[in-house]
Parts: sequence; C-alpha cells; structure tokens
Amino acid sequence: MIFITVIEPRQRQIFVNGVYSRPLGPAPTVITLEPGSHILQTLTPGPGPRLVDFESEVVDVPDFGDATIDLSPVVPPRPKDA
Amino acid sequence: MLGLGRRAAVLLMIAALAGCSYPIRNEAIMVADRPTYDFDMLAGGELPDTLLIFTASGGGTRAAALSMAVLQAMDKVKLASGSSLVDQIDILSSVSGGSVTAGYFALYGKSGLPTLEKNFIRKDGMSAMLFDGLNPVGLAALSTPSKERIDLLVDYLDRQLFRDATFERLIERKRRPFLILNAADMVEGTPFPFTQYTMDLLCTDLAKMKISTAVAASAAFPVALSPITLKNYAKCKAMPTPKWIGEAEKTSWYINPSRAVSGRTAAAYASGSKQYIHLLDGGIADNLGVSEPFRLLTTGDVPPLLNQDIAEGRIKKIIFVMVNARTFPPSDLDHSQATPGMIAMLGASLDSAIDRATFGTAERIRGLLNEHFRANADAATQKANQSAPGMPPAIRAKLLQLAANFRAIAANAQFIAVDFDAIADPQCRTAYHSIKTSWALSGEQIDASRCVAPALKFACLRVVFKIS
Repeated sequence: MIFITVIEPRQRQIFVNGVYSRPLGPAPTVITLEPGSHILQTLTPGPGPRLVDFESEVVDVPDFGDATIDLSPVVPPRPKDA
Repeated sequence: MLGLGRRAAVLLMIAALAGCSYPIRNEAIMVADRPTYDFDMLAGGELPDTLLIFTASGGGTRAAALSMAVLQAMDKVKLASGSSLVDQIDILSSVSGGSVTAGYFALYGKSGLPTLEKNFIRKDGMSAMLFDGLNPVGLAALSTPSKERIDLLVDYLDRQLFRDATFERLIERKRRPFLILNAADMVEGTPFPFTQYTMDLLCTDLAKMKISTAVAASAAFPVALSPITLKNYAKCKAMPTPKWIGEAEKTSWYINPSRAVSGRTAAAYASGSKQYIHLLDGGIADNLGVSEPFRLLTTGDVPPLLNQDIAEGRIKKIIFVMVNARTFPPSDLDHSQATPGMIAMLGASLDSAIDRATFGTAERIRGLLNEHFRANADAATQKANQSAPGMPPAIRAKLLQLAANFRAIAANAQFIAVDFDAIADPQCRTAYHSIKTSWALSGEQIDASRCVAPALKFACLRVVFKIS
C-alpha cells in the first residue's frame, strides 16, 4: 500500500485510474493505493457531460511509500475517455 | 434399414452440414448502455460492514461435493434474524469443479443445492460424456471444427443444471453473491475471471455469455478437454480502454509484479493484439479461486473497490472461507524403478504446476489477512506521527483514521481454510485424500463428505461469535 496526499484543488472529489463511479476525498485528503503508477483526476460538475479539469500522475511509488501532490488544471477540460 | 455405406454417407453429410467453422462462444457489445453484472448493483446480506468471501477450488466432482457440503454447513449457522451465514456470502470465486457448485449456487441460492446434488454430484458425468463423445453421431460431430471436446462438458452442464442460462439471469437476480468463475489464459498463464471488467476489455457482452460455457472454461483440464476459445472484438467504440491499464503498464515489475503482469495482459486484450483468447482450467494459474478476490482487496483498478471500502471503514470485518479439495492420491510410480512414460510425465508436470500455484495463492491471502492490514495500520500511524510542519491537520487526522480502520480490519479478519485435513477420523481423512480427480464419485465417497461437517460447524460458529 502507498499513501498519496492530495492538497489541491480543495473540496473536490478525486477519481483514481478512471474509476468514475467511486469518488474519493474531498481534498485535502490521503488516498491509499497499491504500489505502482496511478492517475488522479477531478471532473467538472454536471449537468451535461463531465470533463476532466484537474489531473496528476504518480509514477512507480513503492510499497509503504508516499507522495504529496497538487492536481494541475487541464485547459481546456477534456472528455473522460480521451 | 440403412446399409453400412449409406450410414457412413449420412454421417459424412452431418459432418459437412455441421460446417467447418469453429464455434463462436461470445457476442460483441453492440451498445454501451446494456445490462451489466456489477458488484455494487447487487443487494447484500444483513451484515453491511462484514465482507464474506467464499472460494471454491478445483478437483472435479470431489471439489463440487466439498463446496456443496460447506455451503450446507454454513446454512446451519443461523443469525439472530433467522437467516443463515450462507445467505451473507458477498463474493463467490471458484475454479474448475468448484465452479459447478458456485455457478449453480449463484443462480438459485441454497434452495438449488438439492438439485445440484441430485442432478450433478450423484451422477456419473464421466460415463455420460464418454457416451456422448463416442457414439457414432457424437464422433461425427466431434470430427468437425464446430464441435470440440469441451462441448461434451458444456452440453452435459446445460442438460443437468444450467439449461442455457446466461449471466443475464444473475443480473436479473439483483442479489449477492457476486460470482467470479475463473479460467486461465493458456498463452499468458494468468487467471481469466469471467467478470464484467474482463469481458469489457474484449468488447464482449457478458450478459449473453452462457454460464455453462464459463464453468466449462474454468474446468477445461488440459489435454483431456479442449480449451474454450473466445473471440476478441476489441477495439470497439462502446468500450474505451480503461485508464488503469496504462498506469499498470508503467508500473515496474520489481515494484508490483502482479499489477505489471495484469496490466500487460489487459493491454493485449484491450488493444485487440490478441485476436483470440484460449481458456483452460483455472487451476493452471490458481487452483483455489483466490487470486481475483485478492486483487479486489488490494487494488484500486477495477470495481468493486474493496480496498477503499476497507480504508474508509465501510468494511470492518472480513470472513474468508477457502474451500480446498486437494488430495494426496497414492502413486504407483513410487513403487516402480521403471522410467515413467510420456503420459505419467505429462500428468506430473500439470499436477506440480497446479500444486505450486495453489501453495502460492494460499500463502498470499493468508499473508494479506494476517499481516498486511496490520502493516498498513503501522505505516499509517508512523506517517501521522512524522507529519511535517505545515501539513494540514486534516491530513494527520486522515492518516490516524486510516490507521484505526486498518487496525480494526486486521483484528476482525477470519481466515477459514477448509480441506480434508480437517477430517478428524484418520481413516475417513485417508479415504478422502485418495480420491482421484474425475467427474464421477461413488455414493459412498459423496456420503463421506458429511464427516467433514463437525469441523466446519465449529469453525463457522467461531465466526458467528466474532460477528455477533
């Protein structure tokens, strides 16, 4: 297990590895994941199609390792499946 | 009365009419909006903070009978409401012979167990399938590519139990257990669970897949039976490639080998680079059916995110019942100096691979339940205590909460391994350890399974004390 601390953007739900049915958070929060690489995103609120507006990636974090990240804005926001 | 020549001609015509194409066993996804088989859509039992996982191993009818006996024993353990422990199973993961019981139980619940026993466990499946395959019509059909040896098992399962039921019936049932039938990809050597997220990678509609086909794939013992071959319809517009695959591919093998391997295999499925998937007995990769529950408990790649439910405290207790129908049949090779023949060597190679996989997966799940959650709790505590100046108080509070949740699950994880070693009576135990893997058991051998019950009852009662 690894510990990913997400500080920004505050009060936003975090989606991990494209599983959009189960949000985590809100930020600031600590997310526990398995060792390795992961992508973390936030989505614009509905109604209408929700777009990715913040995103960041952690690469190859080993077991019991940790990382602190701020998600970066995605300009312009893009579709989830892109 | 037809003459011999005419009969041969009729058989040849049947063979010709049967066609020369291989059977298509899976259908493409046509639309994104369709019925799907998702854990989160199925109603759970009466213990919302308890996760009950049941795994059923391979071992032919012996495994099917032992799994059935354990389910029956769990039905005798009653909760305060009057329902039983067997009604609380959340996830049912199986391999080979265990998949027959698992598939039927997922379809009909405990009320289906008497039919399972009457129509399958107590029937001589070997003789029935040999008759189907060796009569003239069967032989003619098997001589064409459209009918394969595995179809003898698919047809037998449908005739005796499943009646062409598809996964759509499980979706319509809308209740747990969530069924995971496990085969093995014979090229990759990795488990192939018949789940929504796996079939989505192949752009295949799981709802239309016959349960008998999945059970047969799970039980397609190498050489004796032919593989089940699935067509890969990827890529398709209805199913975009999941994001976790790219992340898993970026993961170093040295940091997380199982994720790196599953990412590589999933990428081959989702890209369409593997046009066909040949599936054999799940025992090649994991003869206990443990690997997929393990994955769900430890990864955040595919739903249900059980690891997140544990971290967030939504799951506070785990009961893991692992039914293992392993045996230690005596071998004539031990009493002969003669060089073992080809068949004996082939059999030994298969058996030793399966035994090694069994040992490895059993150790992994035992380590997860007994050690890993506690280690997670310790790591979270350590990070909370080392928190840097300026770190938001909310982060420290979150780390302490994570530590508390992992500590709670470590204290409330029950691992119940059920195998023939649990039989107290030495004669009965030896008799069970000598049963060879087959699709036929004698009535005596089936009845002997009842001597396993007292040990199981004790184990299950301990669990009830824990959860009540």
